[in-house]
Amino acid sequence: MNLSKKEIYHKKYNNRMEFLNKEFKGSFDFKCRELQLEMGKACVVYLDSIVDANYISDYIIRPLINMELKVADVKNVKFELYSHIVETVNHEIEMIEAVLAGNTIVLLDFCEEILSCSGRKFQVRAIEEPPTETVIKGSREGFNENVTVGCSLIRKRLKDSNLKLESIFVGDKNNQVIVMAYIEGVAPQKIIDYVKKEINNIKNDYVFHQNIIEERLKTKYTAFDTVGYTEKPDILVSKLVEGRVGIIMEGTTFAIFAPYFFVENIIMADDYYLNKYGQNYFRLVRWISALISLTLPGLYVALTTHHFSLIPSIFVFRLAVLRAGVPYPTIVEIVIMMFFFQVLREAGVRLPQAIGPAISIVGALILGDAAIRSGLASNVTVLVVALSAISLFLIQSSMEPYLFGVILF
Amino acid sequence: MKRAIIFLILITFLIASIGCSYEDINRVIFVITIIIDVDEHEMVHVYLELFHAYRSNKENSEMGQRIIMKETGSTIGEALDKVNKSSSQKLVYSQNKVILFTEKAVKHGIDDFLDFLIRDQEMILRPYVAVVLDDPVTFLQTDIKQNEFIGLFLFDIFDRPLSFLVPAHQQFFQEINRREMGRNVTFMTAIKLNTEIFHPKITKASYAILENDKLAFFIEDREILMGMTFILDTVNQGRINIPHPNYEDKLAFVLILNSKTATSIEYDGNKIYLKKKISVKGTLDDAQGGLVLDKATVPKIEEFTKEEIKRSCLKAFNKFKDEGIDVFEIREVFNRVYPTIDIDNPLEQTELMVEVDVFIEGSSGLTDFNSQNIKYPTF
Repeated sequence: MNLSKKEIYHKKYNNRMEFLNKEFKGSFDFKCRELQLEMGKACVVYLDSIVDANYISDYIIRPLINMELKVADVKNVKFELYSHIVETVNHEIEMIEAVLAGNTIVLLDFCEEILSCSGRKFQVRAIEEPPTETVIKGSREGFNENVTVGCSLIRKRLKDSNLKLESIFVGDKNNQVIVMAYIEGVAPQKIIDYVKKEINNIKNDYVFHQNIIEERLKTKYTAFDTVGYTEKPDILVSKLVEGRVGIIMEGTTFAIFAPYFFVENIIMADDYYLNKYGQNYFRLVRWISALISLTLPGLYVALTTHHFSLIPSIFVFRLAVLRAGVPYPTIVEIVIMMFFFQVLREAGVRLPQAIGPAISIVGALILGDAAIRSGLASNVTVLVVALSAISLFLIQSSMEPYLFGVILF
Repeated sequence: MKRAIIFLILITFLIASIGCSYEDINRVIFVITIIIDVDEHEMVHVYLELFHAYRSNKENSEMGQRIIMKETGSTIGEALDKVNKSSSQKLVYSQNKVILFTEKAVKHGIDDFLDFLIRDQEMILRPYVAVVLDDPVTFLQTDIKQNEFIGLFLFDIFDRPLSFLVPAHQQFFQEINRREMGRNVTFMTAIKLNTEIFHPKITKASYAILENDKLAFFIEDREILMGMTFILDTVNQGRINIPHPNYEDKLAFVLILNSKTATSIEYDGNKIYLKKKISVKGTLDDAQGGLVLDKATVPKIEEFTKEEIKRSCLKAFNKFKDEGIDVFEIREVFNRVYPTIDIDNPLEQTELMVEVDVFIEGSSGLTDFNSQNIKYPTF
């Protein structure tokens, strides 16, 4: 049976409608707005929760209704639409992907092609100061969960045509968009290729967090970070300028960059904004505190169990008196107090912001004092553990202190 | 493979840990003072001043207490073993501040005790050594107001930079180094109790000179001690009494701010010349009846100071030469300069040649503003 072109297109139109309805069955926000045009039927398909309804009405539906076509050609339809992006989609799967990405699909029963128009409008958070990287002086802008906003913040700072922002989709089912940022000619091609290869090798169905990418990029068998992350566009830009490759992902506020070196844990965001002599001094303080955090408990155990001669006499006698009532060996005492600290820190992190400080007070004042009074620990041990714990937090990376804590044990 | 590596690391860690002797700081007794005495039967008496930290269940609080222990043995090691038998916790010598020998012990000879003190791994080389001129029991039972531990008090006295022109106090490692050099002549500060006025005090009384580890004699003469200090180049600070530049019956006092002594030795085949070039910087500290420090007075003060230093050096040298005791290590210095010439006792052939250079400074180095070509600012 030979069908005319019009009949074929109409059949395809119906099949596509059926396919869309089947795919989005159960989604309350799936909308199909069918229109009767001069040349035939048209259907505007979109997900109501991620599109701008006014935009669709004004720039897609209204021009379609007012359209006066003489020839049923998709090119003419494209010319008539006001939407700033109108693309042709060739396959049903791509059509589904476009709808999920927030585009509006226009199906026509007098053309073979499917049109995908822009019109997405995701709910985004305002640009705020990132809580983990506060600065005294310098930019207070931070990434939000929107990748486009992130790219715009980078572009705003880096007006260079060599800045490349390549989008890659990861996750076989959720098609998460990530943007790989680098400066062509500055970032080594080897690194760019390596990052691209590793991202393309991700075979997960769903990717929601860039930790999956981070895990792939990290050097194996090291406890330290070899991939850095930041919430601040100015920092990411400074890293790109140094030849690193940045990765921004939809849905997360952190941008990651590679490679990353240990020394960067000691460098703070506002080091470059404040007086260089002062900041060099504070960098030295950070190095010393990193050293303190790692070695102080061990040094304390060594001094108070073996190398008494290295402690001034007056302090030796005082230490001996302070520990006189403690029933456990020094090493056990240290481990107990450090475990207390780990518990308190974990509780402080997990608790809501309003209760967190209260826990800190309970930990610092009540538990510390009670531990001394009960004879579980001596004053100096509490001081050593507290100093070591506080020193941990002078290290920039929010994960590194945890790691240092583990090494400390 | 990974498991094997982890296992190996654990085993290494365990073996390394087992090899070390760990004692918690509150589970040891710290030795602060060791006094070594010897009796007529050549039995060694060891007196220990100890610090012990403990928790008093009666008072319900942590405390530190001073303990004195005494034991006797044929050697120090035997005596200390006996102390350990009556001690609830291990004795630790890391805080040992002074090792004192009684007069009887230095007369007997300290070589019998030194081997244990050098060889024993628990002992440290930092403590000061001194001779105590009193009975050890009375000495240790004395209540010193400045510190409840006599060892700590003595350490403070010995460790403080010298403000008198006396030889430096010897630490144990200096003592054992010195006895290995030259003709085995060493010296130690001698201390004694002074109970005459107010509270009992411990004072530096004299210096014990030891030859071949046995007491030769004590020196109390202030001038000899001053001479020794300049010759041995251990001056830190101190006062020298000189005649008053203007009045014959009065005295002036020069405060020595620093001094440097350069030593050289020459041998002409007959005599050895020990040359000491002493450069002294001082200031006028005090003068009976007052003194105007002017252009005429300063050279006089410098001259008197030179004479005083020179005299004390010669007196000290002659004293030791007469006694035949090579406290200035002339043999050691001579052997270094003339290693091929073997003279058994070079001291007998030695003459001391002292050259003293004194610079007296006032509150300002400039004492005469009139003769200086000073340009004052004009307005």
